[in-house]
Amino acid sequence: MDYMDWVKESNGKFGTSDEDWDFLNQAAVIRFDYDAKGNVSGMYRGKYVYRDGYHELDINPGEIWVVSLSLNPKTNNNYFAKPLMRIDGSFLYELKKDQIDSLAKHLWEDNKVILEPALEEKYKDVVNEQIAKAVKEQTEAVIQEKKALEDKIQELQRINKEDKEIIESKEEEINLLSAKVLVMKNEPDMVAPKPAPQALPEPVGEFTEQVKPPKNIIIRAGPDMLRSESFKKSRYFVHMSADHKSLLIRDDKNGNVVCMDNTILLAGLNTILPFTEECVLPSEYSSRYGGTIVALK
Amino acid sequence: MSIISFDENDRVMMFIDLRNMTKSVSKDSKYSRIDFVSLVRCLKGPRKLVAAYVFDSKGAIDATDTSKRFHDYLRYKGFRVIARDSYDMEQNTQKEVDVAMAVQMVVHAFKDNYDVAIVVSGDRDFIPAIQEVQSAGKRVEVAAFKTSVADEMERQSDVFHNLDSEPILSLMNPAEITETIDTVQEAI
Repeated sequence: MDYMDWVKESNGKFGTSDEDWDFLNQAAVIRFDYDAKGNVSGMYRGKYVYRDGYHELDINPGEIWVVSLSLNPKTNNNYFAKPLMRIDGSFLYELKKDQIDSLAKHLWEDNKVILEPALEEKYKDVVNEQIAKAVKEQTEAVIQEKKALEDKIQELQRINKEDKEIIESKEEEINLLSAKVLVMKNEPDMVAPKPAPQALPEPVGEFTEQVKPPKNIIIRAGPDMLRSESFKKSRYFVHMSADHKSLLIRDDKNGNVVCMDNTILLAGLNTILPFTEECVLPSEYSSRYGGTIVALK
Repeated sequence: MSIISFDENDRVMMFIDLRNMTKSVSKDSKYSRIDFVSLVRCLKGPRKLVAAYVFDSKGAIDATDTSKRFHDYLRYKGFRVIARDSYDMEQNTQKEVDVAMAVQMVVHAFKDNYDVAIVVSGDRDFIPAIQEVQSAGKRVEVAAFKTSVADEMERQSDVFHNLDSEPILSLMNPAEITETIDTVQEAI
């Protein structure tokens, strides 16, 4: 609704009639205040508007009025204003919803340059606060999700580690049982089940060398018999330490010990180390001696 | 742990008192014998071997010629065997051998033929010779079985090798033992 429509609708309220149309047609909304000379005046289209001195309603400085304007016939440089209605708080309270919207729209469009920076400054903190709050909520949600994923990863890693340990122990068990089966195949007379060989003890320090080929499983298969899958050559040198604690086995084409079917027979081994049952002897390759060192005791 | 460090560039000369060594392991001689080639390999390590001397006397124990075969076997393997013709049949002891070995140690030391002398014996008769060699700026290592080495000998050496823990006793197949036990084994 524009200004003139509003005036027409307000005919009854203002006590005007159709004859007053020309009079109303010159109406305008003017803000009055003191000018430089101390007179109460307003501005309309670049010309001063002064109060009509003969009207019963008095216009005070600082007030906004709907007034009827008449051009000064003597000078044509200023208007005289007859007050129609003062725009104040009560006026605003009586406005309808669409009128308020229209008024707000006009106020915004006319004063956008002033209002926008003021509102922006006023609501900047509020908006920032809202943004920070929203960001914080989203961040917390992401952190929660991350923590849940990390917990899940840790759980999976733990399960993975446990599975690996189980696999390693099973592999070791399989290796030892394979060695056991090998022994029993070669000695079919053995019927009574025998305990599985214990895990190999760690090698003694003097036998830990910088180069470590895979460990050879050497089995004491009989009183004077050693058997190993690694005994693939036909001749070996076998040396024993005087304290009877270790045995050095190294392949050599001129070796004085003959190997057949992965088996080496050594005279006097039973005397040195009495045979009780077949077992796996701890062994390790030694680069210093160039052969496999077997711990006898 | 010794403060002496091994240098691969050291020239090593070995002096083996054969009878002192074989006596130390006589109880195991039925099934094993000292493999002198392995003994040398273990003791010299990665160092350069200039020579390995073996000192013995001719005509061992029963005056048969079995010792000669073993000396020839060692010579074939590269050892320098110095066998003195001085075995005392009545007292069952050898003469001149220790002195011969001590002389060789000192002579080679003064001729600067080696950097390290390895004395394979636990006999303390060699202590004066060891001291002379050391005074010539050479290092002396002693290798012996723990049960047959004199404490003073162990103390005098720059490095002591305990042969008890070294795999130097050669084992054989049972069949081989029956074939050879009357030959090489008895010779030792």
